[in-house]
Amino acid sequence: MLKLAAKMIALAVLLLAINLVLAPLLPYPWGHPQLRAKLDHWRRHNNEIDTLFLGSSWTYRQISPRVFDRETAGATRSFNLAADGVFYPQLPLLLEHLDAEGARPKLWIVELSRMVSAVDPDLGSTREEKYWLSPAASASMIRALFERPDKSLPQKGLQASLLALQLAERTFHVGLGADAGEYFRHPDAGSAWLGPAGDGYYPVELQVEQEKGEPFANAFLRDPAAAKRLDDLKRESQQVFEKEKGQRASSEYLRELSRVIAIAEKRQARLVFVVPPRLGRRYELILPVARALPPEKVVLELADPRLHPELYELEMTIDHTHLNRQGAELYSAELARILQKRDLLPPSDIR
Amino acid sequence: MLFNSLHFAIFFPLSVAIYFLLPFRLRWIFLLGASYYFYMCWEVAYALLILFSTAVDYLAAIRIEEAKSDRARRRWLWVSIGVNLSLLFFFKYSTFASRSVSDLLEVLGFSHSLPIVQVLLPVGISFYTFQSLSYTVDVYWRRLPAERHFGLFALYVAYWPQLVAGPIERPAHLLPQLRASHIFEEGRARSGLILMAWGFFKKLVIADRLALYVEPVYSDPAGHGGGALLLASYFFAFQIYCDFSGYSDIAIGAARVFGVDLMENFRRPYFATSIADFWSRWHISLSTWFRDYVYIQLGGNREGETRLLRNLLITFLVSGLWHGAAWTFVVWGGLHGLFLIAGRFTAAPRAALRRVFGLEQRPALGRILSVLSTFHLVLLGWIFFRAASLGDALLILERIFVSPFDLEGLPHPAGQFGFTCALLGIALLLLHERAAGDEPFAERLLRSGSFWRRLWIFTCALLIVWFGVFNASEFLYFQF
Repeated sequence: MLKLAAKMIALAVLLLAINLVLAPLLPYPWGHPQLRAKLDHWRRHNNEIDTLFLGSSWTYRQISPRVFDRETAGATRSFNLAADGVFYPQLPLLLEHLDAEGARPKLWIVELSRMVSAVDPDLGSTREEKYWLSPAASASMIRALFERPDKSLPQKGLQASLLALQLAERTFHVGLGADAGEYFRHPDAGSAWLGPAGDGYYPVELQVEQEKGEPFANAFLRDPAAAKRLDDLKRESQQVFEKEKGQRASSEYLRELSRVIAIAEKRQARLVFVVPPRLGRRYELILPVARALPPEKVVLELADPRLHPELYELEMTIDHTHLNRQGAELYSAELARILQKRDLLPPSDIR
Repeated sequence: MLFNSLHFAIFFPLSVAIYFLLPFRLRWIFLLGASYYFYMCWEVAYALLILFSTAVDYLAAIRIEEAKSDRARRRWLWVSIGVNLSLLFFFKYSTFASRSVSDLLEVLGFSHSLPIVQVLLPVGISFYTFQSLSYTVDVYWRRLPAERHFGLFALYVAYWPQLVAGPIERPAHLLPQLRASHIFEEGRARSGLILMAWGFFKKLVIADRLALYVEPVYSDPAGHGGGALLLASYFFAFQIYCDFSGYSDIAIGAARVFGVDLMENFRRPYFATSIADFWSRWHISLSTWFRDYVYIQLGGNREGETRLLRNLLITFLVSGLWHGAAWTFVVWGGLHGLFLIAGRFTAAPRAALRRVFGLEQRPALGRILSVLSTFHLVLLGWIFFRAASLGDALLILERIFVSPFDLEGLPHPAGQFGFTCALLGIALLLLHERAAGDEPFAERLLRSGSFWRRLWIFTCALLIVWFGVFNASEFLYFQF
């Protein structure tokens, strides 16, 4: 039995060693096609961009650089580098990548969203990408997982094992053949992800129309319960803001934010955190963290329904938690106005 | 617990090691505990159900054996059949039944509707109830004595490698093996591991990759052209084969490592030359179960041609219903019954056609044509099997026949590599099966030179690591 077990282990080691040797030799793309397309664009136009938006779909699908720059009357040249599913700790990883490539933008507008403790393969977004799973990121997610009060110890153990397995898959490039083949077959990352204006903002409606070849039909709004669901979300959000005291700030989340702050300082970039609208109960985790940041760090909260009720209206809705095109334009314009009012726009040396 | 999961990757070697390290008298306890643990990973409450079914059949078989009269024996047999089929009906068919009756009442003009019963289907219930039923029936027929060791009988019902998706074992084949003492044999273990590797290849590299194309097309047939639907149907034929036979191979291979031989469940079904031949090669454990416990009990072929045809049709309709609580499965089963009946009626005309076209002088060509035509009849059935409803199935067929070259809705170009992978996987599968023949290939591989054996093992493992889809998707037959 031991002899057979030893042979199997030897086979496994051989296979993984082959992967480790082969992987660096392939011109392997970095990340999901959404990010690949955006990073390619940013590299080509790094000298022209002075403002970067970073975050998840709450930024990718909701902030239009074209509208933002129009509102600042050309004082900014912005680009939306957000992508679906980029939360924490993925976002600091992306920033490290930008830092390594010598990012020049002077204003980074960074979303304060979720700290994830699982890589959910069902999401089909960048979060499932094994590129995110560095030992540091995995360790961060595991620590965040063990901070969660809503999971039992066995559940946390199982989830942590899964994260470790996913890290192992990434480290040893399991699925190397399929991924490399996909790249060689389609080296072009797909400029469609940059959106109709090529500025990185890609409304969901437009993506669906382009993929299906027919006008977008909003399934959420056709649901008779849609208005109630939105009202519930608004009420949940409002309750968190009214409570003032949220949960204890997650130390792991704060650690991730400190990485973001460190990178911004190294790049001498102005850093503005934004709490996006329509996150409901998630504010219970986000607000304590936002309030725990050093006082000199700028945090814009466009999330309080009492202050921004227009961002919670049914007419601005594409689904439960996201704004449609009309809502995105309103949000982008509001963000630009607030930044201008607080004199937070980037200095003009790049223009 | 899924076979394609981290959990199983830890569970399997650990249970093998513990099993062979334990003294013989404790092994059945360990294996029984491991089997129940395996099952409870889905849902703890399921264990109570299987335990109840086990207890009823254990008691019923002993009572059958001890009964003084035929009437008493029959009574206890019906207790076992009644309890098992009632459980199956309640958990699997009550929603379907209530919905069908409601639909019928609506068609007949009644305004009242029945409450629709919604019940969660316990994984594997169709498999273990049949396995347990075959035990009590065989005891009734005096084919084997009742098992007095409750633990061993419970292990027979719940034996983890084949618990949730077969092969459906026979008591005379499995019970003695569970009772026997096994020592670890490297040759047998290697054979089992080879079979498991092939099973994982079929599941992870072929079936799960094909599923990426089949699922979006079959979930929206109206949004796809006839060509895309036809392609998805071909893909589904191989998806279900690789998924199900992959599971069987892993189950048989895993049992083999423990020293237990489970029955063969698939024997190159897509090389069948007729529908009858297909059913001697596809899900063999189920088709033989229906043959022995339904078809033959209805009279088989002993009561004339009309009764034979009736018995065939009933058997296949019931088989269709076993596969799922939906009319699409009933139609699928009925189609196969009709194909078999048609096969009987057209035997003479087909033989005449073979003579006319000189196929008797060209047996290879004749065989190829038989294989292709059988495959396409089976494919027709799979369309109903996979479709979400009868309406969808008919729409798919209409589009396939009206516009077979319309590729509207074919996969997004970004997925073309995966598409190519899927096609290559099918080609590799067919070449492999053609080369292996009807002999179990694991044995054939072990007999071949060590270079070829090592090359096969290495290549199989590499392809799994490189091209496998690792998001731990369920096996298709779990829903049955």
